[in-house]
Amino acid sequence: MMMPARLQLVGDLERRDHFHLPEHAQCYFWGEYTPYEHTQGKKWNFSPTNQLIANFKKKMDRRGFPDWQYKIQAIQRVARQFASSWKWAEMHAQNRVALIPVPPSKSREDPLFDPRMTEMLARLTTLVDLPLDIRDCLSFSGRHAASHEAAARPTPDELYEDLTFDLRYGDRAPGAMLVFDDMLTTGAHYVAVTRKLSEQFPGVPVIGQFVARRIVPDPFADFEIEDAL
Amino acid sequence: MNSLPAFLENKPINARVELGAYEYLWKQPSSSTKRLAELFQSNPGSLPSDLVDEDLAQQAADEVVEYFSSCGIRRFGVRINGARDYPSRLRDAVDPVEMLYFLGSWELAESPRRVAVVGTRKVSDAGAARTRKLVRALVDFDFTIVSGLAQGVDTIAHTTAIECGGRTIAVIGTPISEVYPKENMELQRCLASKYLVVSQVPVLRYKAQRPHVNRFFFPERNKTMSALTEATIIVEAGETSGTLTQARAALDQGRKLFILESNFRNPAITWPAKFEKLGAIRVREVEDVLREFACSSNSTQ
Repeated sequence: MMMPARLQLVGDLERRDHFHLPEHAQCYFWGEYTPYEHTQGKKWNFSPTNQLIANFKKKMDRRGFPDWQYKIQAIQRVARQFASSWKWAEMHAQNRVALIPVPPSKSREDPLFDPRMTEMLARLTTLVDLPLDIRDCLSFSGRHAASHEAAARPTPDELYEDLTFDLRYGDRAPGAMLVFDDMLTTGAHYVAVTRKLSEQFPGVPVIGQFVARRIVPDPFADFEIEDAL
Repeated sequence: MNSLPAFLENKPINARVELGAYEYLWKQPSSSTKRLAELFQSNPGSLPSDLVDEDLAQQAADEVVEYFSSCGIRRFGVRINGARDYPSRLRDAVDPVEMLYFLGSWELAESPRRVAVVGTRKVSDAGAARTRKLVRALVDFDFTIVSGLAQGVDTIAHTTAIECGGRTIAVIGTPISEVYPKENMELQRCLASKYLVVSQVPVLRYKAQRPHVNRFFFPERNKTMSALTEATIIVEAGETSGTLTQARAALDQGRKLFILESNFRNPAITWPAKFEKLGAIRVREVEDVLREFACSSNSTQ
């Protein structure tokens, strides 16, 4: 038996890097992303996980350019991994699970609005050959720029205030919710999104599913530095 | 109670539990790198936690995390076989390690043209000069300099790489919380906070046994350093140097092995000719190294 590719749990060791994440949050991630903007200004972006994230998050204005193929490949790669990570047929049959993408920070009217996570979930549905319940039900106004680009990160409360829930998806309460995002940074988006979802679907269990979590490379840095990463 | 985790296809990795289980396995008196590799070979697809009671693993993990914290280490990373970022090239070692600790930026472990520059602790003046010249040239050609943070060649390799604005990785023969030699404390801290320090050495076993036993971790470290790199360059080494462990490992693992020409001219040693017969490449000038990497390319897209 070969060693299978496993997801990793956000446990006690990891949670300190994502300080908004409450202790009871159940979250899984696939890889670890190392920020390089803070390592002496050098562009250290070599690992398969960093490469995957860079391609997955490639901006929409690259559409039509030769490097766009890498974004499509990254979406497919992530979908393949998540397809093999869960027992979809059993979970679908027994739990009425809804798959919910964390929306991009940009508004849906913005030409740079990137539906990468929804596209990944559509691809996942094809791969597992099941009519999975994908609910692209959340939107941000665009008031808060992408968090990794912003000088000051929005708080979970600010993000929550900025979120809207599309009521067309609010009829049937799912049995459980899997919330998908590409990167777990401080955990602020996850907290805001799960709070919004719990209003619509009180008592429905939620699990976070991330492509990668952002680690903090400096072993001696103060924990406050996380806020700037 | 959330029942969704029951639908995971494979047991997920809880890093804290896995490091505790790994440490617990290492605490057993009969454990060695070879025996643990055999244990995992006979339990294919297993995580350390599959082989250890979870309470015992948690206890060991608590001890490790508390100890690291007492040493000023606020954050550390682990790479566990089965996780996405575990480097599969570690499996090229004869006795591969299931888990590594690291401090710093893991990106360097995946950087292009990783080459180990190693040699004797008691380096000659000429050997020191050759190390500096070699590392400067390699950094100019975008190599990542990997070494073992020992005295002599290793220290010069790291410091020269830093001085030249290059990338460097230390693969150390102590736990990430320890420093050897002591005079490299500042250098190790610099490497851990700005570059990358890697160790396979289990902290609880290391703390529990005497230094003369712990020295056996150094040759094990050399095998892992070779596995993590694409090539090893030996600058200067005596006939019984620990560096030769890495030379053997490099060839066993299908890595390139380079030996500086000056070693072939030393009548007191026979190992250069022996390793050349086994496939090592003689280095008269840095171009001899560059030629072998000519086909390598950066995968950045």
